[in-house]
Amino acid sequence: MDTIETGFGTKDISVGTWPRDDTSRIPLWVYSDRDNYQRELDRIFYGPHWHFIGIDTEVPNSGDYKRATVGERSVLMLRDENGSVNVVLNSCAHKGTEVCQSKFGNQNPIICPYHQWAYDLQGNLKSVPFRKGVKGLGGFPADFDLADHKLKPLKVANVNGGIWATFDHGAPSFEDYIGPVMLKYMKRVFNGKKLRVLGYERQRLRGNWKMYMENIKDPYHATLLHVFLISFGIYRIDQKGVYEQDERTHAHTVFASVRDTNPDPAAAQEMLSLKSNYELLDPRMVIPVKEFPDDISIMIQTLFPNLVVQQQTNSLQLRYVTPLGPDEFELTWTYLGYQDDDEEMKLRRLRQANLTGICGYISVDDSEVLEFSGAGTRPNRGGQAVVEFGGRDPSAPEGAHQFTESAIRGFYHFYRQVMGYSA
Amino acid sequence: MAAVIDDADVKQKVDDLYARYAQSLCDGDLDAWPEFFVDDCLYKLTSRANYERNLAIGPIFSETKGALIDRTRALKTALVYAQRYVCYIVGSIRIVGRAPDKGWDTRSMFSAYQTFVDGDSKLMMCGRTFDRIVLDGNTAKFSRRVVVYDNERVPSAVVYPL
Repeated sequence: MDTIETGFGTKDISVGTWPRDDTSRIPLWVYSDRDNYQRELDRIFYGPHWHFIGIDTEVPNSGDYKRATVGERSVLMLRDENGSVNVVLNSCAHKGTEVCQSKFGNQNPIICPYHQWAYDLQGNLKSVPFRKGVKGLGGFPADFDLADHKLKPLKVANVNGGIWATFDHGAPSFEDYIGPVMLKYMKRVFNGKKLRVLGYERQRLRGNWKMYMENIKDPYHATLLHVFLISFGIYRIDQKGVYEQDERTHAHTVFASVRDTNPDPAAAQEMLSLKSNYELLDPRMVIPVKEFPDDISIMIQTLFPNLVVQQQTNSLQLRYVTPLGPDEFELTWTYLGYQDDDEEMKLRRLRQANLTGICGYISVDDSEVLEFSGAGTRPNRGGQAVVEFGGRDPSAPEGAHQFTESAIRGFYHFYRQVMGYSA
Repeated sequence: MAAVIDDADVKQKVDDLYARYAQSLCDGDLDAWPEFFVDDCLYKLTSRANYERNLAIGPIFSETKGALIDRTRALKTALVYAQRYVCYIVGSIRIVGRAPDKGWDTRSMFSAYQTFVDGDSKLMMCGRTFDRIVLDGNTAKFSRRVVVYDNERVPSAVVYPL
């Protein structure tokens, strides 16, 4: 343990050090230190980790593109003439200019607006103006080779219409990266039926990006903070369910449970926010129908580093976290349905979306406490978080109950390895 | 675009509705909010990005006045959020046509600022509304209100409806 005296009778934890060998304590500098943030960009966002880019039906036709973000970098998801979806860096090989400015568009070739370097839909440079100059004047050197210059391609995975990418071509395949257990749960939503994006919501939160992932790995808060989540039996910590991890890393996690409006009496006593008699004048947003082959009514999956795949009764959502420096992040909500949804199902998904997102009856609580967490940790970076609910182990507990913060410990177990902060 | 309705009485009632609505948002009078709507109403808050791509899901979708009352009750008793003031400025209110069955279709432009404890007043949202207004007795009310904000990203959570 490496600490420095502050003169106030407490010892600050210095940047780069951890209070304990295990991850039951999180030093608060991880939420605000700028050098650490740069290291996260290099090692996590631009390293051998997979990031969610979009849904293939967002770019249905050849030449369609969508702007997406990995870390702080803009990338383009492109549909090419062969029907493949490619992901390339949105930065011209000439002078680094962003080549596409619209969120969605269609171009072939992709032409940088600055000096009109033109790229094909795989990102290969096809032509540059005045390549041979004019009447012997100007032009490029004889050894200038178009093949040496391209929109930097990312390694891409397409899993039943979900597009993921990584900057590191040496990264394991996406399937190997998340492992078979996580893939099984992910494929409950990405089940091979054609997906349709039903809408987006985007918000900027003044906290560190990891706080959002911790929050979604945290059944402890879920059962205490959210009146709407627990009072209508959508999720409670005592519900019958499963908690599984990718056991190799402890960093990808799924919580899933079965809807049940009758809380365990002992658990109910601890849940001050539980309002069992809460009634709505228009209750349609909390009325689900069975849609999937199993009985899981809520599935909350977190994939390292920054994606949540959530099925909340009939609401299917991806929540993607983009860092905006150490102190802020964007949370992007992508609401999904299937192309073959009937009108009733579309309406049901629309109604249930009121529970989540930037105005959500559940999610407003999260957005707000994450801002409180940002405000409380930024000026106190010598402190530490105490994450000891359910023990100090990063694994899912025996019996896979959810009375634990071990998924958060699991996240930091892997984070420390990736960041070179191993015990 | 349909001809502007020049019935001065209707125009006055519409302007008055928008002024009272803005005032009540600025006052933070949650109980008053559902009363600006008829029972069978539609309220929708969505982004310009969704609206222009015909994507149905946005942050708020309510199909009855009951659902609006549910929201105000939840804000008062269930949700956890920081205290804030909202200042809602509305302008360019215009009746753009007669609705097919009854009432008038309108448009307006707005900006909304919010102020947190120990904080500065900052822009929260700006955008447009596409509303339908009917007479309930002698009082103009919304039968449809579609609020479309320009923000690509919204700061923090949007707690109070606009």
